[in-house]
Amino acid sequence: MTEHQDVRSALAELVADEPDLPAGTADIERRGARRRNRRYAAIGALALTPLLAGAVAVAVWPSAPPAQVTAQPSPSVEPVFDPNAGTQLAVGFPLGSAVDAVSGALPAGVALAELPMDLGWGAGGTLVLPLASGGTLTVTITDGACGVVTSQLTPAQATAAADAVCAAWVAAGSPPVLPADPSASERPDLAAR
Amino acid sequence: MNDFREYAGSRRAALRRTAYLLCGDWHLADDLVQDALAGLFVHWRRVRAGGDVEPYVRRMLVNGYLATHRRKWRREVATAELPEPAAADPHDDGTRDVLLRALAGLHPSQRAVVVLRYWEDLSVEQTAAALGCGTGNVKSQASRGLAHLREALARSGALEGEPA
Repeated sequence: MTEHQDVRSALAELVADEPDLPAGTADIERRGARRRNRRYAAIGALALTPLLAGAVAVAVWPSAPPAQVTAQPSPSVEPVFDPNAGTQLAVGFPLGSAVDAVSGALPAGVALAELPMDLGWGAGGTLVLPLASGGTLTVTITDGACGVVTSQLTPAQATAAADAVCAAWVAAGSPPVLPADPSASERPDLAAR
Repeated sequence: MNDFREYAGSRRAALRRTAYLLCGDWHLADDLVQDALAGLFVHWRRVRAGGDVEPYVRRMLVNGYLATHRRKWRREVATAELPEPAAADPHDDGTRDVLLRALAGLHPSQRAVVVLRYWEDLSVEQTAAALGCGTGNVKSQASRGLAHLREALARSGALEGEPA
């Protein structure tokens, strides 16, 4: 750099009257330590920000309605399935099942007529169904045995229809066909109400 | 951190002179050096392990200087009243003032190139690394800056034998 010695000399002249140095390096170290601490704090804040945001989001997220929460059964109680729970209807063989079974087992040309509104099981477990061609068909379920009696069916057809009714009754759990009346003490006093 | 203390203690004065040639103000030079050394303190172990302490500090110093020129509040503000003029140095023949004005007339990056090349005696590559620019840029800036300084000094008669 000898060719630029003139410039270097001129620059050296500028710094010739250098004043005394201020405080020692301890001050620089303190400044550096503060800067390092700020840096660590910034890194920590950057790392914690997503966690805090997630926690806040979870905290303010709308929870399930309280009614649903309280309606949940206790996990310690074994759930018992009772299809009739919550109702006062007596257990019995549903009319619809018996009618469907008979209707499906009838041969071509024989069909059920429109069912009356007051259709129901009669005494002794009998159900009288009207036929479209006139006449009636009587279904009987007594002591686990099913029978179908009508003048419109041959004995074989009647047996097939009775078997269909029995199959439906067994599928329903062989319930009592005619539900027992509640005892007098359990009957509601409608007149009093 | 004893080694840092040792390094800072031994290099502080030299860095301060370089910083003064960059900014032309001893107080600002102290700030620049302290800032650069404080930044070095934060990364001391990593920088020392890499073995490039000196280029790191030099780059921080230059970056700090260039940053002061980017800050709006550092720029000159026109005022209605002139500040009190400094007393004339009886030992100064005017060269110092001419040189300071000539340096101040350079663009900050050009001034940094001149100081690093002709005061710190850095190579073109080292200067380019310190400034984060290309070697071609350093060469052209150094050439123009040097011509500017020589012209100013020759006008003042400080350089004997130089063309006016």
